[in-house]
Amino acid sequence: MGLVALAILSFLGCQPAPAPASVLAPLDPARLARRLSIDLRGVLPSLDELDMVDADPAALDTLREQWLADPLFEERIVQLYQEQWFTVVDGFVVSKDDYGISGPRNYEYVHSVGEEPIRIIARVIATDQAYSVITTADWTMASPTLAGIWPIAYPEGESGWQMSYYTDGRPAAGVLSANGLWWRYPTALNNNNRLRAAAIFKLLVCTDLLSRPVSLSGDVDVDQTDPSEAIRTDPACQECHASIEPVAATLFGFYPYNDQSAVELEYYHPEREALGPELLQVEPAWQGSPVSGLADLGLAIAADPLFGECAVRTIAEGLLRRELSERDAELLAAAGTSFAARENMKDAIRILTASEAYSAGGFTVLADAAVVAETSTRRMLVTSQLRSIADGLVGLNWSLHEYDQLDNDALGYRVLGGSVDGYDVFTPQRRPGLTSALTAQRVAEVTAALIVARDLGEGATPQLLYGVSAMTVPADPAFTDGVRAAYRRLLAVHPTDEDVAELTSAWQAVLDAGGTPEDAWACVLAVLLRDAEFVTY
Amino acid sequence: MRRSSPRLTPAALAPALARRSLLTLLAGTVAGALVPGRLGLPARAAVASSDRKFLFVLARGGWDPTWVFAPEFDNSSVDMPGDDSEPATQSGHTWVSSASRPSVDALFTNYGSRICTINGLVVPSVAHEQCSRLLFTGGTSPGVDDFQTRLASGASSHLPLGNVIFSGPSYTSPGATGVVRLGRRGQLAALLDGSCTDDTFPSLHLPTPSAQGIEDSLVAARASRASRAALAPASRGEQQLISAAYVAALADAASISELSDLLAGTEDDPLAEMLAAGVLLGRGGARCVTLADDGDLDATWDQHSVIAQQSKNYECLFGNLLALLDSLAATPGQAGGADGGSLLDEVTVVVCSEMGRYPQLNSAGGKDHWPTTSLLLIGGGVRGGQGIGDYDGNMGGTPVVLSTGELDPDGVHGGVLIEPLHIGATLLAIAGMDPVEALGPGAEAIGGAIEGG
Repeated sequence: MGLVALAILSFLGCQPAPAPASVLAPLDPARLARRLSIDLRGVLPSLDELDMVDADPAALDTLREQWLADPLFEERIVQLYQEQWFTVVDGFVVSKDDYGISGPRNYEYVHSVGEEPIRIIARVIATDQAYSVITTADWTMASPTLAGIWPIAYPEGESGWQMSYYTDGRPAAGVLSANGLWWRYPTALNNNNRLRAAAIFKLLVCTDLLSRPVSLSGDVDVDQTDPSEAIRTDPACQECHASIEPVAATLFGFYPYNDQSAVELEYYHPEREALGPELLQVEPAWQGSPVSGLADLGLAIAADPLFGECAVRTIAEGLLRRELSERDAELLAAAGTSFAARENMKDAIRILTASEAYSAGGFTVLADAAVVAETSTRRMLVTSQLRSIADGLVGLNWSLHEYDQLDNDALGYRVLGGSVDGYDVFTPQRRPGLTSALTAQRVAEVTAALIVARDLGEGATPQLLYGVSAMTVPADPAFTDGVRAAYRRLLAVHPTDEDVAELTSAWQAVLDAGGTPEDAWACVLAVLLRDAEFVTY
Repeated sequence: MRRSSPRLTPAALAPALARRSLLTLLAGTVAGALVPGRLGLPARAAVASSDRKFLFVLARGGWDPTWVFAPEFDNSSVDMPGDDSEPATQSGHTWVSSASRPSVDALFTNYGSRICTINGLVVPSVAHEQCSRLLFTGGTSPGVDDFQTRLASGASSHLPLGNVIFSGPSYTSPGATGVVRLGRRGQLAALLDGSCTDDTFPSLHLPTPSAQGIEDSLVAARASRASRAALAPASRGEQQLISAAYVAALADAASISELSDLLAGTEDDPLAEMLAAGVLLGRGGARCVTLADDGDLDATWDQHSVIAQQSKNYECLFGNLLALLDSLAATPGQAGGADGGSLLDEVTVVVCSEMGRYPQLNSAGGKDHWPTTSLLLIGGGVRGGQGIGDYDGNMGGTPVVLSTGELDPDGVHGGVLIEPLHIGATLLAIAGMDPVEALGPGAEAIGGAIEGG
């Protein structure tokens, strides 16, 4: 409030209304920087970055912009959408063997298929394109594996995920034209794309039609009732099917005559587009407005206000790591307004991550039970985050038979570590459990051992254990400095003298038990990497 | 390489607990016991509700009740199996019998007195994922604990593996901590003994046992301290809750090494999996175990074409169930062992499928989804020897007076259609928990299905 206004109020005998007391207590700047770095890049902030926000909390705004521009940001968006679109599953109807892919490349195959649609989204967000592009793009994202098995033109001389183009003449509809989406959400032949239409409603406008109760019995006479007729005429059925059928009718270019056939599933079939209206006896439409086909459907969805709202909601749930409640309406509205101006998701992310709700680290005494129940003040690292953090620290690559062990469930530990598999588990773990604690332990021990091998090897330049060598002992100032630096880097907290003392004692105990200095340092690092402060953010 | 840790070579991946080794385990467990399924069931023992355990078997994909549970031979609206199927009646049950499904006959014949069949259960959806959520939580809202999680949290004493998922779905609220998944290849065992990283990092210097002990102690001590500390400047927050959960998880992980022989996976062998689940419950490691059955040779239960696959699926599933019940009945119970009770008195087996199938064949010779189905309650706490509920002429459900289990087709005695919430309430009641308190209004147990209810 300006001085003039204060003077006027004082003259009138009024006191300015105090700012509403908050029920949330913010994280300290360094911990908040750690949270933001993990959310936007999937890695820990550097010591320099922590020092920046310690010196000036406003530096976080600068760091936010840097991190939004970081190449790792796109990977984080992939992880966030993986938790909500569930396309990255461990298998599809068509296996790698159907394509004659030899060797243990199943992991790469299934991940390529499952990641295709969410990589379109990630590319749109990361490159500041209008969000509507996700349902209107004439391109897709492809890996060399996808380009090798599907009708896709992949840029010559490139590697990894690249913007590419289907060559089978499919409509330009972004994710709606991505095989990966429809392999994850297939249609049984007589389901006539209805399940796929329901997926569109859930993923793109956050309307879960399938959660509504269905009652087919009671008054239904199975002898007299043709189910497809009932879907068109029964008022109870129409509550959902009035929306579903016209959307399903637009998807028949993806309708397979054989739902187990690779060729049927990998190609778009333009000649089947007319089957939709014929089989479903309804004209293609989106929410009552006619559309001329799949590309038009993509445009109609992108123009629906619910589309933008759903996009912001999806990213907000990913960043806040919880279901949203009515308390979040104001925040969502602000993020939505910011997003809508340019259809730019980064604008929404800026608002969301600068919010009080995002920054909360605890509750004040004013918080009531409802606030406590509906607010997340601390998040648990799930498997994908453990993986990217360890990768950032020491290049951890825990793979076996080319399966990333922290990103699959066929052989690995994705769900056991707290993530989702999109098949049996749909909610990331919010609290540590037995298997997530064990997963964190094994990641910590391997990461610690790799750091020690890197930092304490002969002639090595330590990247985490600064100033430390295998010869350093507790009496050396470098020892304490090394412990403090590692503590600070991993937990974003300055250790107390007690913290340093107990870690030093652990170091000495390992040595006394016959271990080497490397064993002792690995123990210190493993303790920190398993710390309750580390496995949360 | 982790020194002196037993190495689960893995092909760690590959499998560990083979059927042979499991049968060895079982032999040890039931040494000298009769196989009562064939020779007469042992006397039942009184078991405290809070000591009961639960085994959920989900026939994933949607089974067709007309192959076992719904002998609708006189109903022209229903396409019944085209084989030699005929109705059979014994021990209070009427089922669909066929020479090609001898295990179905054997299950009802040998264990009919311990089985309560629920027919006409309405699961109000026709989408697999939603039906599974409905079946196990009673609703479609995300973020709600399933019945297994609730049952595990109500155990009289803390069990480190409260709610074990061998396979199949689980649904939990954000704050839930008690779900333990084994992994499809028994990955939990490899996590426990540390062998999970051996093949990837064969030359890495991993903790010696003594270093491991030092590490574990300090991690636990620091987590314990964090669970008690206030996180400045906030007066309270989730950090303490998460740290407390972490402390508990670390303690649980340290306490289950003696069960590791049961956690190593079963080579995708449904029978071995089912038997291992029974042994795990018998050894007091868990209160709930869930496993999914994907049909004979993983052919799935979701037959939109060639509905005859249901016959093979039922025969396979019921054969496995028969072996499970034999082993449970032959294993002395933990609580009632002294007076002759068996594990079957303590374990409630729930056999279910997330949906049923449309009464009539489609053009591909299969059957599509249908929201009415059947479910089996077997063993501990169950009033067996009866069927509750029924199908109407259109394979819909028939209202039932929940307190008695009596049919009330016209609804004049307050009968209602049986829904998953009633099943959940029944299980909670069997466990000695208050269903309404746990599941909310409307969670009325099917009193007629409960032993002594």
